[in-house]
Amino acid sequence: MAEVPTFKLVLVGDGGTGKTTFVKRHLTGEFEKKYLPTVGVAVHPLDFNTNCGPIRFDCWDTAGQEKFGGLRDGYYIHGQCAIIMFDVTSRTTYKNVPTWHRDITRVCEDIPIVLCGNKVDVRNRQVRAKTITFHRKKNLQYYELSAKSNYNFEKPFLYLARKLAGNPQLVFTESPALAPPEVKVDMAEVAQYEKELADAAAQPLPDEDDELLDA
Amino acid sequence: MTSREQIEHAAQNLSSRTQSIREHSEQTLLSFRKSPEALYLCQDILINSQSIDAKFQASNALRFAILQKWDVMTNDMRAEIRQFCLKYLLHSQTTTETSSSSSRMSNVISSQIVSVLAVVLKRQWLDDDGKQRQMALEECERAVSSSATAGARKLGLDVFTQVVLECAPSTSSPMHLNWEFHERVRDALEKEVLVHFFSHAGNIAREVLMVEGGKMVKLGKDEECFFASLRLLNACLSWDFSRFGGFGKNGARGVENENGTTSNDNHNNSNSKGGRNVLENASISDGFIPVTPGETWRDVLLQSGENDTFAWLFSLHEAMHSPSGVAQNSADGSSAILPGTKVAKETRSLFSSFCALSGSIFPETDVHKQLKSMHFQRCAQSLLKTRTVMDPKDAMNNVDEREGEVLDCVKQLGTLCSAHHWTFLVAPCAATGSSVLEALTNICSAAIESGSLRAINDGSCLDLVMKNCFDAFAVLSSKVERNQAESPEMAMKINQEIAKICQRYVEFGLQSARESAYDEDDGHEEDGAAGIEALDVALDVVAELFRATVSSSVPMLAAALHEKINFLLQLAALSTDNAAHADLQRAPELFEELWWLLRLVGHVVADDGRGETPMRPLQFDENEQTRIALRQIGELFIGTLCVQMCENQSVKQFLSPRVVEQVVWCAARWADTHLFPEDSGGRVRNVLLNDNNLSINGSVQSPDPFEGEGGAYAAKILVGLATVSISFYDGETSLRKSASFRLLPSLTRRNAPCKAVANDPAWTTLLFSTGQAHENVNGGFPSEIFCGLTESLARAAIGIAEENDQRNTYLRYVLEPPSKVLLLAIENKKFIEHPTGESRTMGALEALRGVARASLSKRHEFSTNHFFELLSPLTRVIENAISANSSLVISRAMKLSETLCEIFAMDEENTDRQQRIREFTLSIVSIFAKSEPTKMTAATLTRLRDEEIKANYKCLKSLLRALTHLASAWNDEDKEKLASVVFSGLAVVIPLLTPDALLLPKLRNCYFSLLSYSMESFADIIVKNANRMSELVVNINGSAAGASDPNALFFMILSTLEFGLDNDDENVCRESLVALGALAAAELRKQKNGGGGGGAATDSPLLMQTTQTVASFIVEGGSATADNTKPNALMVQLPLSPLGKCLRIVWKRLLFVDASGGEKNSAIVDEAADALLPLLQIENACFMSLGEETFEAAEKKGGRGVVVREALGQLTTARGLNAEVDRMNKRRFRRNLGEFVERVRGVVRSN
Repeated sequence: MAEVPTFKLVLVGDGGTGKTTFVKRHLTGEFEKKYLPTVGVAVHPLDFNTNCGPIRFDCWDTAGQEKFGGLRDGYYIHGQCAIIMFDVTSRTTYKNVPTWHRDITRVCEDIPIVLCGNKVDVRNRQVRAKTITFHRKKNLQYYELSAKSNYNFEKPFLYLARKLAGNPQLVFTESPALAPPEVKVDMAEVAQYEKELADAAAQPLPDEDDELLDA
Repeated sequence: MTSREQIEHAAQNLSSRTQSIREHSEQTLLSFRKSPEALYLCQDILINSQSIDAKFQASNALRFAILQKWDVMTNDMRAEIRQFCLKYLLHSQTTTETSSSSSRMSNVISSQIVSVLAVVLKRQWLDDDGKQRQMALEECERAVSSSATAGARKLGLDVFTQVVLECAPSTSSPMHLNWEFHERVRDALEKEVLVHFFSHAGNIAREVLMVEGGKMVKLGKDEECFFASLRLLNACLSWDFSRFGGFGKNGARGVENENGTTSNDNHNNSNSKGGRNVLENASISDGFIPVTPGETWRDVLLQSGENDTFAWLFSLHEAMHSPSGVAQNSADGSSAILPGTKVAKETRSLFSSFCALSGSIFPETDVHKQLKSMHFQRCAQSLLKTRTVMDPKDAMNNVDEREGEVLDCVKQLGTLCSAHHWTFLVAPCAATGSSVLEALTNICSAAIESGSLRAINDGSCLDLVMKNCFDAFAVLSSKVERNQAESPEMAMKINQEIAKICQRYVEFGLQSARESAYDEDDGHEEDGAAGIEALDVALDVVAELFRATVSSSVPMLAAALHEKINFLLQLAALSTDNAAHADLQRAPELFEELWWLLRLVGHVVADDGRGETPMRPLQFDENEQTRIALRQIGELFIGTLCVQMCENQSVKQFLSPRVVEQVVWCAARWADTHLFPEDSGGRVRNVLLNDNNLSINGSVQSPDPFEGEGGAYAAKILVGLATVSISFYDGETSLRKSASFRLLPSLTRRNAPCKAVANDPAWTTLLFSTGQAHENVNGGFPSEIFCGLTESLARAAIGIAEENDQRNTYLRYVLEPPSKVLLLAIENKKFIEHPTGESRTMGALEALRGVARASLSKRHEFSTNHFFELLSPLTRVIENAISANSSLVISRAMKLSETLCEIFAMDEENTDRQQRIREFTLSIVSIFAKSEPTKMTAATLTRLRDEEIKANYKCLKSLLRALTHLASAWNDEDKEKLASVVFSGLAVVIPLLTPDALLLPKLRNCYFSLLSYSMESFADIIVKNANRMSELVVNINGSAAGASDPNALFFMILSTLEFGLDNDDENVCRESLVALGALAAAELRKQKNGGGGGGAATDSPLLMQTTQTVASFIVEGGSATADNTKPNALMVQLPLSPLGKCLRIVWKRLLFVDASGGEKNSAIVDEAADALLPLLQIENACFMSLGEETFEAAEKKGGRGVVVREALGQLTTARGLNAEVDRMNKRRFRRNLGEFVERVRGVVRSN
């Protein structure tokens, strides 16, 4: 079997901007509510299927916080593409984008880079779309994301895949395979759930997302 | 000791797929960086190692080691490092030139070393009044010129580029020095060096470039050198020149102002007009980045004729991008520069900067402007000759291959629109006969025609081209709107072009909508709220263009809407009369068209207010024609579409819920803007314009159809629309939410619409339908819909007359049905166990919460009394829900309890109610504790999706919020009683919280908010006797904190306070500081009133007397660390009280944690100052000890203790600071602490 084309993707940005949550969204399909700062780096293989065959990004999810930075730009070596992430609810994280960009381009000259503004689902937006101009200056691709609501989740990967493959017609042929969550299945519980489901089927849907009411 | 081989091995293994191997390598490399021999070993590896990876890591480690050891290095050692870097770079240049095997990686290492050299140069920039810097720069020049090769020249340019980037605030490396250092370096570079770097790079570029006849471009082996010069030129012009002349200080950032002149940059501050320009120009300068180098750069950038040193740039740009130039270059082969090359990209970037030149580089006295006009002509001519402008259709057809080139061209056109006077843009350019305006129209039309509006192209280059063009048009229309009197003809020309674009937009937008009818997903809605938000942001810009040309574009929209509505009515009729008719197959297309058109109409004719009161767009009042257009569209939308949706059964059945939801959205926006506008400021305008039926122009104006009777009619229809949306479309939760949370609030937000709707039979129907829904044994609506409905119903009560008990009767109709359901849930314990009962109880709880939310803004005594009576039943509902194991009912009941606490806590003067709400909260706490809530451990948190765990988590949040409401509203009389409730709540809640639970941001914020309020409210009780906290806790079930250890609660709270002070989340830290400040201030008050203290008080021993082991931040080797886990941190035994320990945490955080560049921690300095002001007085011994430790840390870092000593003195004495903890003194101390932190950080922080 032919080896899957693999590219090293460097994911950078200030601490708390949602880099790890973004990656975990792909790996497990779950939205990670907790914030646990990444120490140094965590490497995750992210697989995608395209009309040109499978593609893998070895995603180097780096620490955003200075004190947990580890080797910092020492991780960028051999990087073939990058995502710079900031948080649209925090001006400081956008202000620091030029520094991340400079560090990346110093090590990885002329690689495709995507700038991502995360957390666009949050009401208290601090960085308005019109003030985001860095990508214009540097000719980077820009996407607004919401790791929470999955908005534009695949777009950065699709852009990078097209650039790396040199094929603007490349498309993802199916949604990325999400690893199932690690749960232990108890058959007795399953039977109980089935009964409850049958009972509940005729009832109106309970409130799944009460964010609207939390205001 | 680490050896070269070990590093090579580790560097190689860092890319390993095996995590353990990678982590081991990481540790090896990290300890290598910090090792004493790092400086030597880095150099050894760079010279002798054959491993590229090891060299890369060594180059990184070298930068780290230099900054780490800088203070202990002598000038000679620093010079040696510089020499090493230079020699290494020159040597690698030589080998790269001679060796064909030189790889890309060796370039990477060279660029890392260049960066090291730049860091060294910056670090030395201010030493010996700049002599060291001068010496270093000359040394660099000498080394480059003695080598005399193209490679060496490139190297020199690279070093200067990196120096510029290092000195620019946005791209500087963290050096852990104070902000003042970075600012002084920046200032010195800008004033003394930048322009020379720029000229130097310009001269080299001119020398290297060969332009033949202005067309052929060849670089040959000098290409890299030319590229390096372009990079330096770009780095210089990317400099933030407006730093001292930006927004809010001295006027606009060089943006074209009202008179066509430009104002402001750092060299002509005195000429600026001040704040007014900032506000006026802010809207048009969005997204535009002006380049404002000031008049000192005029001679370098704007010369003409023989003195023109940058004529080559324009020739080059033209030769690379004009159709003939590209053709010739393509034919020329390898040495030519084509638009896709990196040199071309840098050239375009430089050209863009020239297009963006603004500010006082153009002389004020040149009142328009020969110099500026000439510069504009020069840029425009070059731009208008590019192939993108000459043949935009071809450009759009090949946009994937020519992406950078096309986007740059559009941005440059936009930049010219922002930077120059609007009349320039309309005038045809002498060389091409076309204008910038025409170019913009042609490109925008080509993008739209090529499919920029198709969903599949969302975010593509075509989409970006279109959006950039729209931005440019928006800038133009904004300028025209204010200054059209200057040249009405030209203004008309611009508006005509914008109207053309609007027409194209509607035409192709509808086409794209039709095509998307058969797509698998629902476009923007598929992405949820964020997708819709993105669409709305884009449409906001489009709406500006439509409004700019309102007299032509709005009739066009009305015509399109008319056509679609008529077709809808036809198809709806066919669907009942002749379901097999072929036209019905076009329904999906029609729905998509309507969806798209309604979103656009909503944006154009109505305003979202951006968080403020929406205002009717002024453009609609321009003349009779625009008013008629608006009325026409209103009548179509409300008078036809909404009426048909309410009254015509076939239309109701035929329409898709998705389109209905769009109608609801559009209706809500319409109501916000146009319905009874007198409440939203419309009255003033109406007095000016309408009352005498006279417009400003003196022409007769007809009355607004949405006020008075017309308004009441429209409101009635919209109520009907909401009712239909909620009741007719079963199972469509999203649509029902839109109606209940978007449309109904729009109708009940202001008093006038409330009066209109509340007395209308349609509203009564809605009221009774809602009440009947509670009696529906199948549960009626989903519970959250009840909340939205009753909130609006309750808000509308303001519109009912108070006479004859009418308003109370109305409210009774709102409140009674859900209350009756609650009684059923109390009377029959089995009620909630049954799914139907559970569903009805949830609905009832949410309905009551809706009314309670309405009461928060507008209180009615009837509702308040009703809720007061409801408190006991509510506790019983919770008990029954617990025994029925219904987590859904429990969480909703807790939410309602939280809202009721908020309502009654505000009612400070009513002591009965205050007492009752305390009892109620205590009973809720007690019930919650007895329900054996799950402790939020790491294991529990992995099951947050389980309904039970989720409900438990929500209950915890509600309880925390309820307690916060109580803690935030107290009076002195009942303080202890209230404290008893809050402490009891804390005693129940804290044991459930683990550090893992506090990783959940929402829960964490709730807890620390409560902590902050509690400490502020009850600090006096705690400092009086900390044991009292536990005494006040009501023993709920025998397991509450304090039962076994009377001090347990106190220590639990303090440990969470320490957690908060040290937390990464700035909000949490701030809340904790507020809590700490309150405790400290209370302790100080007590001590001053003779209550003892001084570390030995007997009546508050817990706060003031404990011995604890803490880590000193002074570590061996004279450097300090922010890292708690650092193994060589000294553990010291200090006689510290809990407050003393908190003082140490705050001190350490301020000076050492996360403060690269010295700026980031400023966010907590104010709160920290408020806490430290009393704390330093109480914990004076601890403060002295901290001062000594800080002094020693600075002494060990190059004998800079004197700076700390001086700063400490200033901290406690500057600005006439005294010992009072009052408002004035707090302000003084905030400023003192800010300055102290900035100075001392730079001295003691680890590099």
